[in-house]
Amino acid sequence: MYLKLAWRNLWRNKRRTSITMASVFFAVILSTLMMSIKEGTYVNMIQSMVGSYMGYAQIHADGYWDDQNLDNSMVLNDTLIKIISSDSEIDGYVQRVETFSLAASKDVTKGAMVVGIDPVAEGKLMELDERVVEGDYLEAEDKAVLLGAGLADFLELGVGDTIVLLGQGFHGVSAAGKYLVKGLIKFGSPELSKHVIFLPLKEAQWLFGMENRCTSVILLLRDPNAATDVTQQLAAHIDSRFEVMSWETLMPELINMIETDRVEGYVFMFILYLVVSFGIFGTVLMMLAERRHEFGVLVAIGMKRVQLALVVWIEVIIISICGAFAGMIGALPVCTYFYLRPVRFGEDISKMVEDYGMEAVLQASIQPEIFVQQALIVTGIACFISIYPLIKVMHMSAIEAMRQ
Amino acid sequence: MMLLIQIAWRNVWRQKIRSLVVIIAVALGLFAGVFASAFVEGMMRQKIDSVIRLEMSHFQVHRPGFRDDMRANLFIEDVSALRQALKDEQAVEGVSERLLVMSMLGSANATGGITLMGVDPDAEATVTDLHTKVEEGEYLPANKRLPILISQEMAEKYKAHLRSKLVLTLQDVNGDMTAGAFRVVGIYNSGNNLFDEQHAFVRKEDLRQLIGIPVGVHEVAVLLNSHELAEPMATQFQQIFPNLEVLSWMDLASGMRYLVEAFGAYLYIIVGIILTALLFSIVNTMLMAVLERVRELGMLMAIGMNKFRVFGMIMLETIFLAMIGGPLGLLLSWAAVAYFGKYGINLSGAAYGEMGFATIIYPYLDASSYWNVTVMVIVMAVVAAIFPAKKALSLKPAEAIRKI
Amino acid sequence: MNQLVVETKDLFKIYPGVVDVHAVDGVDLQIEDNEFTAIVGPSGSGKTTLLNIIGGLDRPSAGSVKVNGHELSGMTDNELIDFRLKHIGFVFQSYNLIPVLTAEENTEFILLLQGTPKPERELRVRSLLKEVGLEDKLNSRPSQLSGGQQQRVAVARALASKPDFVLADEPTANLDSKSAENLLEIMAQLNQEEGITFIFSTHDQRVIDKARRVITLEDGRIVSDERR
Repeated sequence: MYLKLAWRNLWRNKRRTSITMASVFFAVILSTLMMSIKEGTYVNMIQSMVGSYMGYAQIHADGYWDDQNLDNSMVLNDTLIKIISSDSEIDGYVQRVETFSLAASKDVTKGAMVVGIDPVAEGKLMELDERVVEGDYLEAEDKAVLLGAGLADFLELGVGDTIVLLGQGFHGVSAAGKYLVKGLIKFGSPELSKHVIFLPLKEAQWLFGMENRCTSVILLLRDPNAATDVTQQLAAHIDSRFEVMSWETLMPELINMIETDRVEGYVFMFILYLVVSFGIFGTVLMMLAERRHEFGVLVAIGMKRVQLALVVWIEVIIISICGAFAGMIGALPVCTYFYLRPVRFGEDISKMVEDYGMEAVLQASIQPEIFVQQALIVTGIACFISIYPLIKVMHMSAIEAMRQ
Repeated sequence: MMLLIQIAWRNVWRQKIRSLVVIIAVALGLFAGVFASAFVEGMMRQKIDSVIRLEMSHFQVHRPGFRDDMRANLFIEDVSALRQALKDEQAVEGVSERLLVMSMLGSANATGGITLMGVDPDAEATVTDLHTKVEEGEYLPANKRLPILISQEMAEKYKAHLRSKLVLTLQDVNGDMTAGAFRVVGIYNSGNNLFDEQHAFVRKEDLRQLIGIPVGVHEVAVLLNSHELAEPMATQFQQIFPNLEVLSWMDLASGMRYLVEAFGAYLYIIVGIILTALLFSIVNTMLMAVLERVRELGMLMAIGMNKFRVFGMIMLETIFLAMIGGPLGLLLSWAAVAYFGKYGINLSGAAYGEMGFATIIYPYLDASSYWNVTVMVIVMAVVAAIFPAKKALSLKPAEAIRKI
Repeated sequence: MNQLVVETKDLFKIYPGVVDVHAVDGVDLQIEDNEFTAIVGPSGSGKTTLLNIIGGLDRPSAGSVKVNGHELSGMTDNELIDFRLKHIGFVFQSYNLIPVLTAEENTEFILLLQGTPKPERELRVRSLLKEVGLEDKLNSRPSQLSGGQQQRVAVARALASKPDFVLADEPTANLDSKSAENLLEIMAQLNQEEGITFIFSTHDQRVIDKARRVITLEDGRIVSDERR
């Protein structure tokens, strides 16, 4: 009954109700679009900076991360393998040997990250084979390398050329090797492509004098968002000789960057809602003033103030929710479009974004939380706004109200 | 005319609720627009300031092609003409001639690639702020042998401290690998992590010997006495020295030009959005006010106040309201910007430092921007009233009077 | 013979609908200068509509309505407003005055709209308010005046532009008997001493008693026209 009353009351003054709803619609659709694009970009950022290379979780020898040194390498023993394999949250793992070395071509030398990988595993789990842009992917027994495309450019090397690797191995042994460039590889993050060289694991272990050892084990998670939980659980089961870290620990600056950006978004949203909320409040205030007489009559003929207050509250809620709903529905198609077809940025922006190590696309997210969040905010605002009118109604004197 | 003004003014004070609502809405909208703009502008200024004062100076001169890969052999041989031209130019505050090379830094613990800057400490201090950011030790004293100034980031990564020995490996001018051992004399922290991770400083003469360039430099950085002169000066010098590459800071830092130019558009969008939200409130409020005054307006038209005057009266009321709300909002926002402009908004928890933005934001807005936003808000408020005012005209006096 | 202040011929006002409503159903009316005339009739008789048309507040569906020789039926909205300003004075049942103006200002309002110079205005306004007995209430706002006083100010204002006639729509309806008497007295006096034409729409017997001509309407037609 209250609902019916409230609904009809609202439509008595079509224009006012429509305009108020429109303002809510406006705020919601903008906020939703903004948050959706931000969240989508974050996912994209995480994927391109973490998922494609670093992995969502890693295991190292205890203390390796702070002091990244071949001497701090580990052995992937059977116990570890068993624990990892039996964890349902972990879809797979790959071993890597990672160290900094000099890479040299005929005329040019540059420092680069040499990564010893298991080509089959990396291909399956990290889809490394799909990133080859020229030449061929590695096989386990190859004595050849995959060069990052940016690095290849700098060293002026192409597929079929020879590259020399020089560095320091396990326990100080000298490492030197000559390899064929079998293929060129490209990552979403150009930074990565400028610094990386892939070598088959066996070859890397031989080169650096560390048979059976690796520097890190990358874990592939079923649910990337659960990284922290999974690593915590795992840490409990693993020997203290090892450390387990989620990507959030491995790349705190990424988290920070995301959080900051998110906060910025909230700040803007706050300002926007502030302005709109006040608009709604103003409307409600004037609505009250306009209907004083009517309220007076209702209370005089026997409607309890509480009931009247309820009707008013429902009216405010309906306006807000309908506007919010419309806003969400309006935003959905746009978000879905950008979710399915991310848009590349123009040249200038692309360059800048890529310099930060990110992929230059505009991507949206259609996580329901984003939409639900807006609905909740609007409902919260509506309730807050209603406080004043409700108080006024509860303290109204029928006779005063009818005195025009 | 005076009559209309008089009536409009008195009407403003008669309809207290309506007036208060519009005044606050305008003030709020103005506050939101100004504060948001000041925030973003403050950030931009700091970023620009930091880019100029720490990284790029106002413009730099290189040999064409040097910036692509930083090959040691692409240096400027004869700097004397340039030096003279800069000396003659009044606007120049400081000039630093540098040697730059990509180098591998090795300590007992780690190896990595950095950009090694060979500078003349005194000249360098006229161009950048670096000498003020030394946290431990000294800048680059003349009396020490082969000193090197590293960042705190580097110190942590390579486990170095004052007096540590660091080995720098690089490719000299002939393409041969060479190395030099330097001692850490100072540790700096610029607040910009991206910069710090990458740059270490040694004396130009020391680097000269290592690289094998007896005369000539890789880079000439120039600081002017005003930001505005950067572009025109750079163009001017490029014309004078067509064989060299002269670029202003906007073109040196990737994406800066875009950022700066997009910034203006970005601000307009933000303010535009806030204005639109404001529009809804005002239209709605004025509309309700007009419809509430049906009897009064009908009576006015009955006794002979023509439509133009009625329209004018309502518009005048809105103008008055906007003129009250405007300064109010202006005052509030000016106070907020002044306060935070002095004490800063602390975003330390956030990762702005990672992206090269300072962690404490000092909102800033120049006078013209205040004006712009204020004018926009007032204009918008008045525009918002047009529709309700027109509505008033379509009231039929006969009907209006009969409404009891 | 006196000039006809108001003349209607074959006046019709029809509201279309499922059944067409003939609010004014063929009215031929002639009102002369100096009249003190009441138009009466039950609700739905069309008296309100008729008066709206005569007062230029509404347009007829058919027929002609002339005020002092000017044909109203073809005028645009703005022309009507302007005409009312110069030729017709109004006293409504309530909400006559502009709430934010004082009695003096309310009265001079019409003159201001017409652009009358200040000295002339002041003189006229003061004398009008004196005539209605409110010379000491010049600076009072409507909220500070009693109902009767407000209606008197309305009369003063209605007379300000020397209109062809004054249209009074239930002027006494919201007043107590004493104030009502008072108001009527004043209007009657103005009619007799200054020759101002008054046309009333009323239910109030007192007004009817005082009127020298009573026109009765029923179903949109004049059913009786009594001169006394």
